[in-house]
Amino acid sequence: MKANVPTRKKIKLKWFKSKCDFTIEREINIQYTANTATYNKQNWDVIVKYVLIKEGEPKDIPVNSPMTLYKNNLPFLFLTTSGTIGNKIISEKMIDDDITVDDDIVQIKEGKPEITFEDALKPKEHIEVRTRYDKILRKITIENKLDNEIELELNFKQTKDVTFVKSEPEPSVKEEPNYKYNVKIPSEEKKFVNFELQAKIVKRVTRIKPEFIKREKTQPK
Amino acid sequence: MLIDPKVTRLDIFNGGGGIIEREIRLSLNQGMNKFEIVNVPASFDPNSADIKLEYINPGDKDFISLQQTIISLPDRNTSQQIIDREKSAATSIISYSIDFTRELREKVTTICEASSYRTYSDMKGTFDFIINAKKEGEIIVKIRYFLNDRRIKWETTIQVNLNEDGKTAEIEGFIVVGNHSGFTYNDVELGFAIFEIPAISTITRGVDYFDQPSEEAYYEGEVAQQAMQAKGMKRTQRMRNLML
Repeated sequence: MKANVPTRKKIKLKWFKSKCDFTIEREINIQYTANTATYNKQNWDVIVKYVLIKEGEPKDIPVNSPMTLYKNNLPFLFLTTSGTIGNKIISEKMIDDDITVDDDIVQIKEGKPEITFEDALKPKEHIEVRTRYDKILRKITIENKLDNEIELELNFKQTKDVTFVKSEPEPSVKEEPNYKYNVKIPSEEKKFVNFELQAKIVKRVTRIKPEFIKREKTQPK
Repeated sequence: MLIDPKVTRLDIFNGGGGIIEREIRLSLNQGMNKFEIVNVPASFDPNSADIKLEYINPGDKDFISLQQTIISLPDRNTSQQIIDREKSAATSIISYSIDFTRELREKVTTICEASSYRTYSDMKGTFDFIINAKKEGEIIVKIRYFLNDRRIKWETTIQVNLNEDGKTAEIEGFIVVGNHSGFTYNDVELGFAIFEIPAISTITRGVDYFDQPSEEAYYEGEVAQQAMQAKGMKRTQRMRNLML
Protein backbone atom coordinates (compact mmCIF):
# COMPACT_ATOMS: atom_id res chain seq x y z
CA MET A 1 0.00 0.00 0.00
CA LYS A 2 1.49 3.34 -1.08
CA ALA A 3 0.69 6.53 0.81
CA ASN A 4 1.96 9.93 1.88
CA VAL A 5 2.82 10.29 5.54
CA PRO A 6 3.13 14.02 6.22
CA THR A 7 4.86 15.45 9.28
CA ARG A 8 2.69 16.09 12.35
CA LYS A 9 -0.40 14.60 10.74
CA LYS A 10 -2.51 11.48 11.10
CA ILE A 11 -3.64 9.49 8.10
CA LYS A 12 -6.44 6.92 8.06
CA LEU A 13 -6.23 3.97 5.67
CA LYS A 14 -8.85 1.37 4.82
CA TRP A 15 -7.71 -2.04 5.99
CA PHE A 16 -10.51 -4.56 5.56
CA LYS A 17 -14.26 -4.86 5.37
CA SER A 18 -16.14 -8.11 5.77
CA LYS A 19 -19.18 -9.81 7.22
CA CYS A 20 -19.00 -11.47 10.60
CA ASP A 21 -20.95 -13.48 13.12
CA PHE A 22 -21.64 -11.60 16.30
CA THR A 23 -22.03 -13.25 19.69
CA ILE A 24 -22.25 -11.95 23.22
CA GLU A 25 -20.68 -14.12 25.92
CA ARG A 26 -21.74 -13.50 29.50
CA GLU A 27 -20.47 -15.26 32.58
CA ILE A 28 -20.76 -15.12 36.34
CA ASN A 29 -17.90 -16.55 38.40
CA ILE A 30 -18.75 -17.60 41.93
CA GLN A 31 -16.25 -18.75 44.50
CA TYR A 32 -16.44 -18.67 48.30
CA THR A 33 -14.09 -18.82 51.21
CA ALA A 34 -15.12 -20.26 54.58
CA ASN A 35 -15.79 -16.68 55.63
CA THR A 36 -17.67 -15.34 52.59
CA ALA A 37 -19.85 -18.45 52.35
CA THR A 38 -21.65 -17.30 55.49
CA TYR A 39 -22.31 -13.70 54.40
CA ASN A 40 -25.96 -12.70 54.47
CA LYS A 41 -25.79 -11.05 51.07
CA GLN A 42 -23.30 -10.85 48.26
CA ASN A 43 -23.33 -9.38 44.77
CA TRP A 44 -21.58 -10.81 41.78
CA ASP A 45 -20.76 -9.07 38.53
CA VAL A 46 -21.82 -10.39 35.16
CA ILE A 47 -18.81 -10.28 32.87
CA VAL A 48 -19.59 -9.70 29.23
CA LYS A 49 -17.42 -9.90 26.14
CA TYR A 50 -18.23 -9.60 22.45
CA VAL A 51 -16.91 -12.16 20.00
CA LEU A 52 -16.80 -11.49 16.26
CA ILE A 53 -16.05 -14.31 13.85
CA LYS A 54 -15.00 -12.68 10.65
CA GLU A 55 -15.29 -14.08 7.13
CA GLY A 56 -12.22 -14.21 4.89
CA GLU A 57 -8.58 -14.28 5.86
CA PRO A 58 -7.61 -13.62 9.49
CA LYS A 59 -6.40 -10.18 10.53
CA ASP A 60 -3.94 -9.68 13.34
CA ILE A 61 -5.50 -6.85 15.30
CA PRO A 62 -3.32 -5.50 18.12
CA VAL A 63 -4.71 -5.66 21.64
CA ASN A 64 -6.41 -2.54 22.99
CA SER A 65 -7.49 -1.37 19.55
CA PRO A 66 -10.57 0.82 19.87
CA MET A 67 -13.78 -0.79 18.63
CA THR A 68 -17.12 0.95 18.18
CA LEU A 69 -20.39 -0.94 17.88
CA TYR A 70 -23.10 0.70 15.79
CA LYS A 71 -26.81 -0.16 15.85
CA ASN A 72 -29.10 1.53 13.34
CA ASN A 73 -26.12 3.67 12.27
CA LEU A 74 -25.76 5.07 15.78
CA PRO A 75 -22.82 4.22 18.04
CA PHE A 76 -24.02 2.44 21.18
CA LEU A 77 -20.88 0.93 22.68
CA PHE A 78 -17.21 1.94 22.79
CA LEU A 79 -14.77 -0.77 23.78
CA THR A 80 -11.36 -2.19 22.93
CA THR A 81 -10.10 -5.48 21.59
CA SER A 82 -8.40 -7.96 23.89
CA GLY A 83 -6.94 -10.15 21.17
CA THR A 84 -7.52 -12.17 18.04
CA ILE A 85 -7.42 -15.94 17.59
CA GLY A 86 -7.52 -16.76 13.88
CA ASN A 87 -10.72 -15.22 12.57
CA LYS A 88 -12.04 -14.57 16.06
CA ILE A 89 -11.89 -10.99 17.31
CA ILE A 90 -12.51 -10.82 21.03
CA SER A 91 -13.41 -7.65 22.87
CA GLU A 92 -12.22 -6.68 26.34
CA LYS A 93 -14.24 -8.00 29.27
CA MET A 94 -16.67 -5.61 30.87
CA ILE A 95 -19.21 -5.62 33.67
CA ASP A 96 -22.77 -5.87 32.40
CA ASP A 97 -24.84 -3.52 34.53
CA ASP A 98 -28.10 -4.65 32.95
CA ILE A 99 -27.91 -8.07 34.57
CA THR A 100 -27.93 -8.17 38.37
CA VAL A 101 -26.88 -11.10 40.52
CA ASP A 102 -27.94 -11.30 44.17
CA ASP A 103 -26.55 -14.03 46.34
CA ASP A 104 -28.46 -14.52 49.62
CA ILE A 105 -28.02 -16.93 52.46
CA VAL A 106 -30.98 -19.23 53.07
CA GLN A 107 -29.83 -21.40 55.92
CA ILE A 108 -26.75 -22.50 57.85
CA LYS A 109 -26.77 -25.87 59.64
CA GLU A 110 -23.82 -25.87 61.99
CA GLY A 111 -21.95 -29.16 62.24
CA LYS A 112 -20.61 -30.78 65.44
CA PRO A 113 -17.14 -29.43 66.20
CA GLU A 114 -14.28 -31.90 66.39
CA ILE A 115 -11.54 -30.82 68.79
CA THR A 116 -7.87 -31.57 68.26
CA PHE A 117 -4.73 -30.04 69.73
CA GLU A 118 -1.56 -28.65 68.21
CA ASP A 119 1.69 -27.59 69.86
CA ALA A 120 2.01 -23.93 70.68
CA LEU A 121 5.21 -21.87 70.84
CA LYS A 122 5.25 -21.84 74.65
CA PRO A 123 5.59 -25.29 76.29
CA LYS A 124 2.85 -24.51 78.84
CA GLU A 125 0.35 -23.76 76.08
CA HIS A 126 -1.35 -25.65 73.28
CA ILE A 127 -3.60 -24.71 70.40
CA GLU A 128 -7.14 -25.98 70.50
CA VAL A 129 -8.34 -26.60 66.96
CA ARG A 130 -12.11 -26.73 66.56
CA THR A 131 -13.12 -28.07 63.14
CA ARG A 132 -16.70 -28.30 62.04
CA TYR A 133 -18.46 -28.86 58.72
CA ASP A 134 -21.40 -26.51 58.18
CA LYS A 135 -24.12 -27.07 55.61
CA ILE A 136 -24.85 -23.80 53.85
CA LEU A 137 -27.80 -23.09 51.59
CA ARG A 138 -27.49 -20.07 49.27
CA LYS A 139 -29.83 -18.69 46.64
CA ILE A 140 -28.54 -16.94 43.53
CA THR A 141 -31.01 -14.65 41.80
CA ILE A 142 -30.14 -13.46 38.30
CA GLU A 143 -32.28 -10.69 36.86
CA ASN A 144 -32.27 -9.74 33.19
CA LYS A 145 -33.16 -6.06 32.84
CA LEU A 146 -32.61 -6.05 29.09
CA ASP A 147 -35.38 -6.02 26.50
CA ASN A 148 -34.17 -9.27 24.94
CA GLU A 149 -33.53 -12.82 26.09
CA ILE A 150 -30.00 -13.59 27.21
CA GLU A 151 -27.88 -16.67 27.69
CA LEU A 152 -25.15 -16.78 30.27
CA GLU A 153 -22.80 -19.19 31.94
CA LEU A 154 -22.66 -19.38 35.70
CA ASN A 155 -19.42 -20.91 36.96
CA PHE A 156 -19.14 -22.15 40.50
CA LYS A 157 -15.65 -23.13 41.60
CA GLN A 158 -15.28 -25.03 44.83
CA THR A 159 -12.35 -24.26 47.09
CA LYS A 160 -10.49 -26.21 49.77
CA ASP A 161 -12.81 -24.79 52.43
CA VAL A 162 -16.13 -24.65 50.58
CA THR A 163 -17.20 -27.71 48.60
CA PHE A 164 -20.20 -28.37 46.42
CA VAL A 165 -22.89 -30.75 47.73
CA LYS A 166 -25.80 -30.27 45.33
CA SER A 167 -27.73 -27.62 43.49
CA GLU A 168 -31.11 -26.86 42.00
CA PRO A 169 -31.00 -26.95 38.97
CA GLU A 170 -28.27 -29.53 38.41
CA PRO A 171 -25.11 -28.19 36.78
CA SER A 172 -24.92 -28.47 32.97
CA VAL A 173 -21.26 -29.47 33.15
CA LYS A 174 -19.57 -31.02 36.17
CA GLU A 175 -15.77 -30.95 36.10
CA GLU A 176 -14.45 -30.79 39.64
CA PRO A 177 -13.74 -28.24 40.99
CA ASN A 178 -15.83 -26.43 38.36
CA TYR A 179 -19.62 -26.60 38.07
CA LYS A 180 -21.13 -24.85 35.07
CA TYR A 181 -24.72 -23.78 34.53
CA ASN A 182 -26.07 -22.59 31.20
CA VAL A 183 -28.83 -20.18 32.04
CA LYS A 184 -31.38 -18.65 29.67
CA ILE A 185 -33.29 -15.67 30.97
CA PRO A 186 -36.13 -14.02 29.06
CA SER A 187 -36.38 -10.23 29.05
CA GLU A 188 -37.18 -8.63 32.44
CA GLU A 189 -37.34 -11.99 34.19
CA LYS A 190 -35.44 -13.68 36.99
CA LYS A 191 -33.81 -17.10 37.25
CA PHE A 192 -32.64 -18.83 40.40
CA VAL A 193 -29.85 -21.23 41.27
CA ASN A 194 -29.87 -22.80 44.76
CA PHE A 195 -26.63 -24.14 46.17
CA GLU A 196 -26.08 -26.55 48.99
CA LEU A 197 -22.49 -26.22 50.11
CA GLN A 198 -20.29 -27.62 52.81
CA ALA A 199 -17.94 -25.21 54.51
CA LYS A 200 -15.02 -26.30 56.65
CA ILE A 201 -14.85 -23.90 59.58
CA VAL A 202 -11.66 -24.05 61.60
CA LYS A 203 -11.14 -22.01 64.78
CA ARG A 204 -7.86 -21.97 66.63
CA VAL A 205 -7.51 -20.83 70.23
CA THR A 206 -4.27 -20.84 72.21
CA ARG A 207 -4.86 -22.05 75.78
CA ILE A 208 -2.77 -22.90 78.81
CA LYS A 209 -2.51 -26.69 79.18
CA PRO A 210 -4.88 -27.96 81.95
CA GLU A 211 -2.07 -29.45 84.04
CA PHE A 212 -0.42 -26.04 84.34
CA ILE A 213 -3.64 -24.28 85.31
CA LYS A 214 -4.02 -26.65 88.30
CA ARG A 215 -0.43 -26.21 89.39
CA GLU A 216 -0.77 -22.41 89.38
CA LYS A 217 -3.88 -22.65 91.55
CA THR A 218 -2.17 -24.80 94.19
CA GLN A 219 0.95 -22.69 94.44
CA PRO A 220 1.00 -20.52 97.65
CA LYS A 221 1.47 -16.78 97.19
CA MET B 1 28.88 14.27 -2.26
CA LEU B 2 25.49 14.92 -0.65
CA ILE B 3 22.76 12.52 -1.70
CA ASP B 4 19.09 12.25 -0.72
CA PRO B 5 17.97 8.68 -1.50
CA LYS B 6 14.22 8.34 -1.88
CA VAL B 7 12.40 6.63 0.95
CA THR B 8 10.88 3.66 -0.84
CA ARG B 9 9.47 1.69 2.06
CA LEU B 10 8.46 2.44 5.60
CA ASP B 11 7.53 -0.39 7.97
CA ILE B 12 5.89 1.14 11.00
CA PHE B 13 5.62 -0.54 14.41
CA ASN B 14 2.45 -0.18 16.46
CA GLY B 15 4.63 0.49 19.52
CA GLY B 16 6.38 3.35 17.71
CA GLY B 17 9.30 3.57 15.32
CA GLY B 18 9.94 1.48 12.26
CA ILE B 19 12.28 0.42 9.52
CA ILE B 20 13.14 2.74 6.65
CA GLU B 21 14.36 1.66 3.26
CA ARG B 22 15.85 4.20 0.88
CA GLU B 23 17.19 3.78 -2.61
CA ILE B 24 19.30 5.80 -5.07
CA ARG B 25 21.09 5.23 -8.36
CA LEU B 26 24.64 6.60 -8.24
CA SER B 27 27.33 7.28 -10.82
CA LEU B 28 30.79 6.35 -9.62
CA ASN B 29 34.16 7.70 -10.57
CA GLN B 30 37.24 5.54 -10.55
CA GLY B 31 38.72 5.49 -7.06
CA MET B 32 37.11 6.32 -3.72
CA ASN B 33 33.61 7.80 -3.85
CA LYS B 34 32.35 9.33 -0.62
CA PHE B 35 28.63 10.00 -0.17
CA GLU B 36 26.79 11.76 2.64
CA ILE B 37 23.12 10.86 3.07
CA VAL B 38 20.94 13.82 4.00
CA ASN B 39 17.70 13.78 5.98
CA VAL B 40 18.72 10.96 8.28
CA PRO B 41 16.95 11.60 11.57
CA ALA B 42 18.90 11.45 14.82
CA SER B 43 16.42 8.79 15.91
CA PHE B 44 17.98 6.28 13.53
CA ASP B 45 19.71 3.33 15.10
CA PRO B 46 23.39 3.43 14.05
CA ASN B 47 23.88 -0.27 14.76
CA SER B 48 21.10 -1.31 12.43
CA ALA B 49 22.21 0.94 9.55
CA ASP B 50 22.87 -1.22 6.54
CA ILE B 51 23.89 -0.57 2.94
CA LYS B 52 23.48 -2.99 0.06
CA LEU B 53 24.84 -2.49 -3.44
CA GLU B 54 22.79 -3.66 -6.38
CA TYR B 55 24.90 -3.99 -9.50
CA ILE B 56 23.28 -2.75 -12.70
CA ASN B 57 25.96 -4.51 -14.69
CA PRO B 58 26.66 -7.91 -13.04
CA GLY B 59 30.27 -7.71 -14.21
CA ASP B 60 30.85 -4.73 -11.89
CA LYS B 61 30.76 -6.99 -8.84
CA ASP B 62 34.53 -7.50 -8.96
CA PHE B 63 35.29 -3.80 -9.49
CA ILE B 64 32.85 -1.96 -7.21
CA SER B 65 32.62 -2.60 -3.49
CA LEU B 66 31.50 -0.89 -0.34
CA GLN B 67 34.56 0.16 1.61
CA GLN B 68 32.98 1.48 4.80
CA THR B 69 30.12 3.34 6.42
CA ILE B 70 30.57 6.29 8.78
CA ILE B 71 27.79 6.77 11.26
CA SER B 72 27.28 9.21 14.12
CA LEU B 73 24.54 10.88 16.10
CA PRO B 74 24.53 14.55 17.11
CA ASP B 75 25.52 15.44 20.67
CA ARG B 76 22.45 15.46 22.92
CA ASN B 77 23.40 18.50 25.01
CA THR B 78 24.30 20.70 22.06
CA SER B 79 21.17 19.62 20.20
CA GLN B 80 19.05 20.40 23.22
CA GLN B 81 20.57 23.88 23.48
CA ILE B 82 19.74 24.53 19.82
CA ILE B 83 16.18 23.25 20.28
CA ASP B 84 15.68 25.42 23.38
CA ARG B 85 16.93 28.47 21.52
CA GLU B 86 14.59 27.79 18.62
CA LYS B 87 11.66 27.40 20.99
CA SER B 88 12.51 30.61 22.76
CA ALA B 89 12.76 32.44 19.41
CA ALA B 90 9.35 31.06 18.42
CA THR B 91 7.84 32.30 21.69
CA SER B 92 9.38 35.75 21.11
CA ILE B 93 7.96 35.94 17.58
CA ILE B 94 4.47 35.28 18.89
CA SER B 95 4.84 37.58 21.94
CA TYR B 96 6.33 40.61 20.20
CA SER B 97 4.52 40.55 16.88
CA ILE B 98 2.07 43.43 16.67
CA ASP B 99 -0.16 42.11 13.96
CA PHE B 100 -0.27 39.29 11.48
CA THR B 101 -1.91 39.43 8.14
CA ARG B 102 -3.83 36.30 7.27
CA GLU B 103 -1.11 34.69 5.10
CA LEU B 104 1.70 35.63 7.46
CA ARG B 105 -0.22 34.32 10.44
CA GLU B 106 -0.47 30.83 8.97
CA LYS B 107 3.20 30.77 7.99
CA VAL B 108 4.35 31.97 11.40
CA THR B 109 2.06 29.47 13.13
CA THR B 110 3.51 26.62 11.09
CA ILE B 111 7.10 27.66 11.87
CA CYS B 112 6.40 28.17 15.57
CA GLU B 113 4.49 24.92 15.90
CA ALA B 114 7.28 23.01 14.16
CA SER B 115 9.84 24.41 16.56
CA SER B 116 7.69 23.78 19.62
CA TYR B 117 7.32 20.11 18.68
CA ARG B 118 10.98 19.66 17.81
CA THR B 119 12.94 17.14 19.83
CA TYR B 120 16.35 15.52 19.62
CA SER B 121 14.90 12.90 17.22
CA ASP B 122 14.24 15.64 14.65
CA MET B 123 17.91 16.61 14.50
CA LYS B 124 20.04 15.13 11.74
CA GLY B 125 22.29 12.14 12.12
CA THR B 126 25.36 11.37 10.04
CA PHE B 127 25.28 8.43 7.69
CA ASP B 128 28.14 8.50 5.16
CA PHE B 129 29.60 5.72 3.11
CA ILE B 130 32.55 5.16 0.82
CA ILE B 131 32.41 3.06 -2.33
CA ASN B 132 35.62 1.87 -3.90
CA ALA B 133 35.42 1.65 -7.69
CA LYS B 134 38.21 0.26 -9.83
CA LYS B 135 36.44 1.67 -12.87
CA GLU B 136 33.67 4.14 -13.64
CA GLY B 137 30.16 2.79 -13.42
CA GLU B 138 26.64 3.03 -12.08
CA ILE B 139 25.15 1.31 -9.12
CA ILE B 140 21.93 1.18 -7.12
CA VAL B 141 22.43 1.72 -3.37
CA LYS B 142 19.83 0.42 -0.94
CA ILE B 143 19.93 1.85 2.57
CA ARG B 144 18.04 0.47 5.52
CA TYR B 145 17.89 1.57 9.14
CA PHE B 146 15.69 1.29 12.22
CA LEU B 147 13.91 4.38 13.41
CA ASN B 148 13.74 4.60 17.18
CA ASP B 149 11.08 7.28 17.33
CA ARG B 150 7.87 6.55 19.20
CA ARG B 151 6.22 9.59 17.64
CA ILE B 152 5.61 7.66 14.45
CA LYS B 153 3.29 4.72 15.00
CA TRP B 154 0.06 3.14 13.91
CA GLU B 155 -3.07 1.91 15.56
CA THR B 156 -6.18 0.22 14.33
CA THR B 157 -9.73 1.21 14.81
CA ILE B 158 -12.62 -1.20 14.28
CA GLN B 159 -16.16 -0.30 13.35
CA VAL B 160 -18.88 -2.92 13.79
CA ASN B 161 -22.28 -2.30 12.23
CA LEU B 162 -24.80 -4.66 13.78
CA ASN B 163 -27.51 -6.08 11.58
CA GLU B 164 -31.12 -6.19 12.73
CA ASP B 165 -31.00 -9.89 13.61
CA GLY B 166 -28.41 -9.07 16.28
CA LYS B 167 -26.36 -12.14 15.32
CA THR B 168 -24.50 -10.88 12.27
CA ALA B 169 -22.62 -7.69 11.58
CA GLU B 170 -20.36 -5.93 9.13
CA ILE B 171 -16.90 -5.24 10.39
CA GLU B 172 -14.62 -2.54 9.00
CA GLY B 173 -10.99 -2.10 10.00
CA PHE B 174 -8.92 1.03 9.57
CA ILE B 175 -5.27 1.76 10.17
CA VAL B 176 -4.47 5.18 11.57
CA VAL B 177 -0.87 6.27 11.10
CA GLY B 178 0.29 9.10 13.33
CA ASN B 179 3.46 10.86 12.32
CA HIS B 180 4.43 13.42 14.93
CA SER B 181 8.05 13.44 13.85
CA GLY B 182 9.54 16.29 11.86
CA PHE B 183 9.95 14.18 8.71
CA THR B 184 7.55 13.72 5.82
CA TYR B 185 7.45 10.52 3.80
CA ASN B 186 5.86 10.95 0.40
CA ASP B 187 4.71 8.17 -1.88
CA VAL B 188 6.20 5.38 0.21
CA GLU B 189 5.27 1.72 0.35
CA LEU B 190 3.84 1.27 3.82
CA GLY B 191 4.14 -1.82 5.95
CA PHE B 192 2.76 -2.36 9.42
CA ALA B 193 4.13 -4.61 12.11
CA ILE B 194 3.10 -5.44 15.65
CA PHE B 195 6.27 -4.71 17.53
CA GLU B 196 7.58 -2.53 20.30
CA ILE B 197 11.16 -1.29 20.27
CA PRO B 198 12.77 -2.29 23.58
CA ALA B 199 13.05 0.60 26.02
CA ILE B 200 16.42 2.38 26.22
CA SER B 201 18.52 0.52 28.75
CA THR B 202 19.39 2.25 31.99
CA ILE B 203 23.08 2.08 31.06
CA THR B 204 22.56 4.22 27.97
CA ARG B 205 20.64 6.73 30.06
CA GLY B 206 23.72 7.18 32.18
CA VAL B 207 22.41 5.30 35.21
CA ASP B 208 24.30 2.35 36.51
CA TYR B 209 22.00 -0.65 36.41
CA PHE B 210 23.50 -2.10 39.56
CA ASP B 211 22.74 1.09 41.47
CA GLN B 212 19.05 0.54 40.99
CA PRO B 213 17.51 -0.42 44.32
CA SER B 214 15.59 -3.63 43.97
CA GLU B 215 13.16 -4.89 46.58
CA GLU B 216 13.79 -8.49 45.59
CA ALA B 217 17.47 -8.12 46.35
CA TYR B 218 16.63 -8.10 50.03
CA TYR B 219 15.02 -11.49 49.99
CA GLU B 220 17.19 -14.40 50.65
CA GLY B 221 16.88 -18.01 49.63
CA GLU B 222 16.89 -19.88 46.41
CA VAL B 223 13.23 -19.35 45.55
CA ALA B 224 13.49 -15.60 45.85
CA GLN B 225 16.64 -15.62 43.73
CA GLN B 226 14.99 -17.71 41.03
CA ALA B 227 11.98 -15.45 41.02
CA MET B 228 14.25 -12.43 40.70
CA GLN B 229 16.09 -14.00 37.78
CA ALA B 230 12.84 -14.82 36.04
CA LYS B 231 11.63 -11.25 36.56
CA GLY B 232 14.80 -9.77 35.13
CA MET B 233 14.74 -12.09 32.14
CA LYS B 234 13.73 -10.70 28.79
CA ARG B 235 10.51 -11.94 27.24
CA THR B 236 10.37 -12.97 23.61
CA GLN B 237 8.86 -10.43 21.32
CA ARG B 238 8.47 -11.58 17.75
CA MET B 239 7.62 -9.10 15.07
CA ARG B 240 4.33 -9.87 13.33
CA ASN B 241 3.58 -8.27 9.99
CA LEU B 242 0.06 -7.34 9.11
CA MET B 243 -1.47 -8.90 6.04
CA LEU B 244 -2.75 -5.99 4.00
